[in-house]
Amino acid sequence: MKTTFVSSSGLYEALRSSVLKIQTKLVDAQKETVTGRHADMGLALGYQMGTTVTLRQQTARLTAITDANAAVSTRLSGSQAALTSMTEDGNNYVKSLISSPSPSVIKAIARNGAAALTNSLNSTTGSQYLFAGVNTDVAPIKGPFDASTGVPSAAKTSIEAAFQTHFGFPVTDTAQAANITADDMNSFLTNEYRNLFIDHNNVNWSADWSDATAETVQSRISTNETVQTSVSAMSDPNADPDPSVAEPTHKGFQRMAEAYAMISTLPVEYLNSNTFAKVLQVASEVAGKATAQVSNLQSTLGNSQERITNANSRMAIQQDIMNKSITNMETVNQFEAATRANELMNQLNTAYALTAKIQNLSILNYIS
Amino acid sequence: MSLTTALNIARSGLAVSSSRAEIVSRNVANASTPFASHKIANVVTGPTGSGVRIASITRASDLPLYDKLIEATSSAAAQKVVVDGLAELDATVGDPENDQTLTALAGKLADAIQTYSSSPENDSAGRTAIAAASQLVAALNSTQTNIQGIRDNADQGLSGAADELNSLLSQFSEVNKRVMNATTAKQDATDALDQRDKLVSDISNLVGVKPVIRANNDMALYTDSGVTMFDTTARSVSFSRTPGLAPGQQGSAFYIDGVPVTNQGTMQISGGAIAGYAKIRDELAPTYQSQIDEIARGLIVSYEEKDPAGVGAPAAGLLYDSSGTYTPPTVGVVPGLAGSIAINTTMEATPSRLRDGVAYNYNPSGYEGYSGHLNDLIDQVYATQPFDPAAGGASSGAILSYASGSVSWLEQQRTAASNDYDYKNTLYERAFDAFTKETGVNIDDEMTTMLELERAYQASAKVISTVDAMFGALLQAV
Repeated sequence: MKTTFVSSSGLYEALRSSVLKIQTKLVDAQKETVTGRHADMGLALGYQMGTTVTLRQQTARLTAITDANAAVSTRLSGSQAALTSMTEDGNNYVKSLISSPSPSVIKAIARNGAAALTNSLNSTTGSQYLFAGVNTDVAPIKGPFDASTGVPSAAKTSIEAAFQTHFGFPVTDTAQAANITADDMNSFLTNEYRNLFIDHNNVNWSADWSDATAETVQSRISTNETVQTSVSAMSDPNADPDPSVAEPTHKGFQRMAEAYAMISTLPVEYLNSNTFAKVLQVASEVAGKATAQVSNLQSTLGNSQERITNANSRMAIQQDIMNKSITNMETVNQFEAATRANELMNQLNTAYALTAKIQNLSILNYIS
Repeated sequence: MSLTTALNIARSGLAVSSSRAEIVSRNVANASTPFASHKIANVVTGPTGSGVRIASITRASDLPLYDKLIEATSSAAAQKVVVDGLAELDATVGDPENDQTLTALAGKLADAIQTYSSSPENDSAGRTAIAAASQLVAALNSTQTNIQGIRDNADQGLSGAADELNSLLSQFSEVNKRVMNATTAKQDATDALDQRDKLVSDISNLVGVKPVIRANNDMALYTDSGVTMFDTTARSVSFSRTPGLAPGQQGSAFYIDGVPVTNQGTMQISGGAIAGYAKIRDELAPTYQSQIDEIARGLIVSYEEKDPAGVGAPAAGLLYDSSGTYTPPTVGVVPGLAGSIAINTTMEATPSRLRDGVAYNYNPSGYEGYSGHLNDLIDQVYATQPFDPAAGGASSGAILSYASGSVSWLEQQRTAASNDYDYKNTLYERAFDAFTKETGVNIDDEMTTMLELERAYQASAKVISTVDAMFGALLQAV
């Protein structure tokens, strides 16, 4: 009669291979319980591995940009502080000019104002000049400075030379200075003198006053935004309007310098009262315009600061979402893994017990 | 005379019991030997007066199960080699948490350049960017070394398999002769048959085998693609090793009986470790190598320097091909580029040249705060560029997404191969299980038979002594 036949090795093999399999699974379950992540990430994720790798790289990128934005924000705050102080000084200067001061008083105010302006324009963060455009390791306003007037020595020389050319006598000639008419002085101030500060292409400004570049610092503040993050002591010649027609509105620093130097370098103490009054009037006009233009620069930078804040909060939200996705893909529920490990251990114990029992099942035990 | 006849018959009974006891002890000794079948003695009644005799000794066998088992062995063996090879390739990727993938390192470089662009005057930010580039280049170089090492291992595996196959075929030739001789001489061929079965199973681990039984228990062996491995004589198996396989270099083919069975020959085998090694060496590793070569090429293109005047051709910038073969922005796989990619030596010495450019000078006045070129580089990194579809990845995209696409490809191959292996291995285990159950030795069964034989022997011996007593009584009476 034919019965089903089972070989002895068949009996033992089945248990042996199942014990090996359970042990392999147990090792994985233990690893997952402890680390909370898949034991073999590639096998578990398959083609999604690329997704999680990309997400991690994007998160790292956003972190790098956010950190870089902190440095940029510091620079912007420093620039804003300097601009505020320049605007305040400018406003005070205008007030002094229209209050009919005495020549010596206003001269002192102008000299201090010029020195304060050059100081502010030369402010730094770290070792970088804030108002130098991209030439950040060179001071925007170049020395040496003349202490009696508060302006750079080269500028003083140019102004005195222009005065001599126009009037025919040097600034030190106090006797002849009293004979200058108001109209003559007006013509000098609005032509040759003005040209030293706001000429087209900034030829005189860059020769006597500033080594800054017109190109300003552009910073990337998010993955797809680049903004202007500095203003320069050198205005952009490309923005000059047709010089014969309109007045420039973007040369605030240069006009401020013009207003201060007007009083501090010219021999105002020796002018007759009409001419002196004319000079005060022109100076207050220029100073008023300059202050307004400098104040406008603050709104340019303020705009950039706001964009940085917005970009930072957007990026923070994006990072949050990405981190959630990564966690979803890569982590395992540790409780589930622990439960699985327990079950496997029970299975293993059972397999061991069975193996021992089956080994004892032999007819040899009963044959003497 | 009937007494003498009784004696002879009892003697034959003793002889048969002893022979059967011998068979029992052979079976018990082979209880745990794989492929040892249990032997059965066919006892028949002899012609009148000669008692019993053993007509033949056969073994328990199941041909269909055996064929299935051979097939399952070779397909599981091939898949195991593939899974192991892919696991080694996976070591170049690792756990994404460690940020050691090429995507993560390329991302770190882009981020370092981003930080540098926010403070272009900061020399240490420049050095950090160069350091990140060094890490990336080192990773590309070592990934190529790893991949070629894996190919070399597969090549070595093929060489070892050729030697083993040759030795197995010569053993097979011997055993086959023994089987044929025993069969023709009508002797017990069962042990030799078991040995031959084991040899065929060992061969099937290396190569997919189709055994064919012919007259006189002669067996011929063919590969699963139809190439003769053994027909009366063993055919030659040859393979010449290529030490130090270079990227893009083809390994040599595996020859059985002068026919190439790998390297896209017409009679390519599909089962056995040899097929697995060939797949790793000729398909999977080279595809992954092409992908990292494309990643290297894409990085060189991302960091290329373009002429600001728009006239001159782009030149390699931060990363370039130190072997001089590749200039950006040509598209097309350059084998071995991942090993020859290097950092521009001028930028390595003076990091500010990364900001100002080497081939083209973007910052002729040397302004410290100039970030224009760095910002452009970042735009280039994240811009879409074309890739060679022959590498098995996307045909266009940003370099970073191409790199993570390559990771996806590898892991997908791994998951598919692993699932396939689980299935094939289960099939093999089932087939082996069924086969051993059918043909193996059951010790309890043999011991019970032994008990039976003991009694039969006792009974025959008793008959003999009784007949002897009868003879004695007869002779005493005379």
